[in-house]
Amino acid sequence: MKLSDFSVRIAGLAGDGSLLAGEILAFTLKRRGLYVVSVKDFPSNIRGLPTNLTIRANLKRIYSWGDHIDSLVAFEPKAIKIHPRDLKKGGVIIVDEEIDLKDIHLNDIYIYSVPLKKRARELFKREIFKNVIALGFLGYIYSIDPDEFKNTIVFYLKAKDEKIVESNIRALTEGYVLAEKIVKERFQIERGTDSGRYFLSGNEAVALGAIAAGCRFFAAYPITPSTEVFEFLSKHLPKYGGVTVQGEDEIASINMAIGASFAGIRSMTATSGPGMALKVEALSLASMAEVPLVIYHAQRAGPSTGIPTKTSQEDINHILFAGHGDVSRIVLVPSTPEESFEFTFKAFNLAEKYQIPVIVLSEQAISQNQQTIDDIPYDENYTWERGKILTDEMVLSYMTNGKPYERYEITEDGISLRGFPGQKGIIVRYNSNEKTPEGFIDEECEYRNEMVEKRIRKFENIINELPFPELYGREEAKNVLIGIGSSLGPMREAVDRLNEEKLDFSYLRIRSLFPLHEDYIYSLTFNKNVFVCELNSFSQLRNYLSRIWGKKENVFSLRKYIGLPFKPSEIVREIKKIIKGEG
Amino acid sequence: MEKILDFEIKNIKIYEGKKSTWCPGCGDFGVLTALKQALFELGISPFDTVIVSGIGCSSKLPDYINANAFHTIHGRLLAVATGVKLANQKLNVIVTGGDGDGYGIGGNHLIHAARRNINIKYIVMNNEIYALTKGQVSPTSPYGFVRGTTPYGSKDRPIEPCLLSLSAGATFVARGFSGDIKSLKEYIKAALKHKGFSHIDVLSPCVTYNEEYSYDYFRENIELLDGPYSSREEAISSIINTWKKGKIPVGIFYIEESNHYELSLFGSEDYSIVEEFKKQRELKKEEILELIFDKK
Repeated sequence: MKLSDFSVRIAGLAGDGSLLAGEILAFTLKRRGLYVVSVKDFPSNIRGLPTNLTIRANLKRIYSWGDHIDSLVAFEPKAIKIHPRDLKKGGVIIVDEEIDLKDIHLNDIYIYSVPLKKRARELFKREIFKNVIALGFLGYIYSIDPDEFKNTIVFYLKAKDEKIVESNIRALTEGYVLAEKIVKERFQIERGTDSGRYFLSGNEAVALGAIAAGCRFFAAYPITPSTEVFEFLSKHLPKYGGVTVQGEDEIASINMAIGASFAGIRSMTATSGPGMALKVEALSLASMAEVPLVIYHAQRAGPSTGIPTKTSQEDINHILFAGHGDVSRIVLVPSTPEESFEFTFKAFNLAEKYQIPVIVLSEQAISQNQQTIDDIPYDENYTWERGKILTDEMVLSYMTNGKPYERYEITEDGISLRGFPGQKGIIVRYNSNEKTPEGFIDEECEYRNEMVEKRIRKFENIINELPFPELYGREEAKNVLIGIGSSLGPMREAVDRLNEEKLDFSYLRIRSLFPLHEDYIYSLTFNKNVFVCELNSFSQLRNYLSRIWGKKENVFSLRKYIGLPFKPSEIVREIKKIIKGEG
Repeated sequence: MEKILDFEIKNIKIYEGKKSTWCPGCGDFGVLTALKQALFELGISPFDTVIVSGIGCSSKLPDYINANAFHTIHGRLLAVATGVKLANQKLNVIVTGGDGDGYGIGGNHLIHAARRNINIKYIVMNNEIYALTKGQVSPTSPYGFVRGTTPYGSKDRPIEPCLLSLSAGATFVARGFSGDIKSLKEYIKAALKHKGFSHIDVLSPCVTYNEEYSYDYFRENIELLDGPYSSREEAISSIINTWKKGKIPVGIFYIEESNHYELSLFGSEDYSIVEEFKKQRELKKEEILELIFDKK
């Protein structure tokens, strides 16, 4: 039997090597020409708690791990109790023989109890190799040529000791040998062509986008699920003359980034909910002092410290409304590694052009999971647009004309010329207080109204530069799903299934939350049933969008807050309930 | 252009800022004067100087001096200044704030700026009071201080900021008195010449809300120490011994020549990310993809 949509879950304990095995498998499938999505489900723990990784591969581009898995590899007893419910009929379980199966009764499932740990101990004196033995076993069942795996292992581990590569290949071969003895039925996975695709996480794409955009200063405080951005930039920014700093806290980090931007370089900070909460005062500073700044925020489940390693869309309200006073901001919401790259790049241009903070709002399910992408969206159109900056040549004209340079000059478009400290001949004054055009504290509120209005005027044109909402399906469809971020894949699949049942659905994905393409959303949803799907319990997205509709009838809210992205089947089931009047 | 600059730097008026709104007699005037004189005597151009401040009376100082400025938020001045300095090491970065600003809300940043030994000059106008909010206790107010928010006397013991920065790793630590502009100017000059984190705590009387700690009080109670001492330990014990005698130690306590943060990071004192970035152009696609070759 040939499988065109294949999913496997590897479940063990943190420290078991499930993630490495999963990555090797994912990469092997990607090189087989398939689009791969990986979803990590792990605890905030270094060793010992259940962890699992699901890998789904398809000939077509996919964005979610779907509903069901074809096989399960289980290294620990709990896995065999929880995960089989996601298995398809005729699916496979590969379980370590040391796990007791006497209470496990599964119909239409092939269960293989394999001496994974035992053989790892015998061959290598180290249990950890069980993960690659299991991979070999799986490879036999799904008719993957051992050489395909070997190539990945060599490629993946080549930086490490040659002996490690050799041991891993021996472990893999052992898996095939064990499988040959006991496997009853084998399957085949489709093969496509891999013309140089990449297997990238959202965090890696954000870091890459920042480098491409000319970000040369990055200050942050480590926080899940954004830390990989910090690690990536720490490794690479020095090559481009830049620097990363680990601040003493989140507050220091964002303020350092603000200082660097004031001095004239493109700078960024990255964080998650609890960290962003601390950064809010400085967000307000960046808005008031008109400092270009990029903030990357990968959401995790909250409130407070919540579940650090699980996804959510619970910070929508926070990001939209954070800050004391009328805080200007732009909020972009990517769904894929491509958009994570693109929006981060764009964020730097927007930040400098409008001299305001730009937030790239992602979430754990995008930031830490890897996907196959065809290419990085980068071409000659990706240029550094630095906005109105004062060149050294322009300084001379200020000096000869005798007109003083005004950092906060009142202009028609609300944007003033940005000079930098160190440009000889002009003095640059930034101020967090309300100010005069020159940047002095405006103690008598002489310029208050003009300054407020100047900051508002920036917003007259911003909307035209922001990523437009993406519609999937027919514009005329009677029912519209609306979502953001990680909902992309599940929503699309749900729409396809609903339409197969002649239920007439489309999916609208919002990609810039602030400012919002209100007119378009209004006209598209006019006279339709709207289903807003979001990963929080307060209906934050629906409530925010309600300002577009007022008291519109037929707006329904689909919420999930377990810490995992939607499954297509959950959406389909909930919508059918609502349509039948059970919702 | 050079000509204009030459002319201007010859006159101390080049540092003239806006007219101040401080109370007549405020200690901060002394600091402002000493700072202007120090900059002038060292011939430091206002165009190469950035003054970063936080919030409070003292943090309004950047308005009253002609130099690049960033008036930021409460307590975060050292963090902002760190970003400025790392972006462009060639800038002369001076941070000015108050005791509430820098030792209360910003206390953590003081410790970390000191341990990094970033080449920033930090001048704290210490009046032992929160003045702009009309007279509450500050982290340096004495135990038992009675004010609006401490009607039964403050139960918090005061911190000694110089001991704090000395133990955290600051490589230049001094205390001045704004009633003695001449000495203070010398301390600031020494700090400006020092390569590393320089902390100057300045006794700067608040004439409106803290009459206990008046100019006369300080004149009677300060004791000039015989610094800079050759070791951190010696500096710390001399300060402690002076306090034990009921006197307030002033003077330059400690100077240590060691690599500052930017030098460790960039390997050079001439390097500036800002200047380097000016020379850069958009990356070619291949250059970007090279960074993720192991993802292919």
